[in-house]
Amino acid sequence: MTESIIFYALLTSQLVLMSFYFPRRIHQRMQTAFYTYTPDQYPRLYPKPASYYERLHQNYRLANQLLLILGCSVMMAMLAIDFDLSAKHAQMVPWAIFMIQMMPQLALELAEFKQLKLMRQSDQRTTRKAELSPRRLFDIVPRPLFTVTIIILTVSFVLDAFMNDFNIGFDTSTFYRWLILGLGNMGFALGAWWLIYARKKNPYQSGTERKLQARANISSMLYVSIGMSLFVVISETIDTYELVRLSPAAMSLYCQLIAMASLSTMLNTLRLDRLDFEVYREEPQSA
Amino acid sequence: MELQIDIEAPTPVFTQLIEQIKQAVMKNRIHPGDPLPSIRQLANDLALNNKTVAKAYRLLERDSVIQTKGYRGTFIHPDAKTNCAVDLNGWVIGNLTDTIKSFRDRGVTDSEIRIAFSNVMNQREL
Repeated sequence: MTESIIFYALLTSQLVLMSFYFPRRIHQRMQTAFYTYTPDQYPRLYPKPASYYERLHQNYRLANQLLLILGCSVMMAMLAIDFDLSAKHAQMVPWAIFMIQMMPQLALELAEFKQLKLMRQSDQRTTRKAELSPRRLFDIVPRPLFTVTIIILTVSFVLDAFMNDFNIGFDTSTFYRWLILGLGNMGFALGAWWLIYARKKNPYQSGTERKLQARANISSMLYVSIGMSLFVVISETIDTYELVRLSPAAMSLYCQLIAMASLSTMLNTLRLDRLDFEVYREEPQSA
Repeated sequence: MELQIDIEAPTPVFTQLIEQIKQAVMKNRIHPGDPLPSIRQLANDLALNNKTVAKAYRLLERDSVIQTKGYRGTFIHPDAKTNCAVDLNGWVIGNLTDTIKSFRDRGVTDSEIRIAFSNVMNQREL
């Protein structure tokens, strides 16, 4: 009974957080940017007609509202059928809901990539600028956060092995967890490298702003990495102490922590007042 | 400190890079020992080919304006400010002017000078 209460409380929190709270903040941010830095005054920021952006904002909001209703319906159905929390793969239910909840976010990211591509294509300037100083990982990422991430990752590897009596053959679950954690963190490392050194996607972005964006992205990756490591330890503890009915609740909590780590870090670091929108104004025509 | 290049300017891009780095040293905007971005980073930021930036760095290193310290990266040379004042191009033009003048004084025609110059430049063992 207690496990059910914890699970449904966490699932409700997941639905509210992912389909109401964060979408609302993101929608407000998009609206503020759109109406403060209008297409008339900042044409470089809007390679497509203004109506496209209004439609995009509306669709994003609508998609999240629909997903909130859908999520609540699923939760009601689970309550109605008295969903068995100890069922095999029960913990995948909050994960699946999370993945569906992330769809509008993913669509927004894809729209941003297309937008940046159009901005690059429409950029007619022949001059290019670059900072004459190297970008290094620790100029961008706080060293303590990086160190803590590595320590927690190492501890999770060791604890996982310890709980399985250091039985880490190729056919053991420990090996697969190590593999998933290792590959996930390698993906983050590649992503960090790409953010620091790859060709910038926004042609108008200044060096300072690029560093700010890289800091936000890499910090959120580090927080997600910490979340992944902790999740491995928690799920292993759940398995060891046969608390299987808590798995779905743990998964829901994990999803929410991931969302908070990534979206919250991005929204708080990349505040609109920290970004330079003047670069998106039309250059004065020379006589 | 920011570099700015114009890809449509008549001056080659690598020359623009060299001149701007030298100017930054002369005007104390960068100092001896300051680190420079890697070739790849600068090429990516300016949307240039790596070889263009590498050429600029090679020539700056030849002139002892910058120095490469293996994996640690590229830095401004300790004597960069003095070395920036050395005009190798001017020195070459001055020497060639004197040499060509002496050939002309001895009656060598311009076409003979051009052919001889070309032959000497094409000698592999030179």
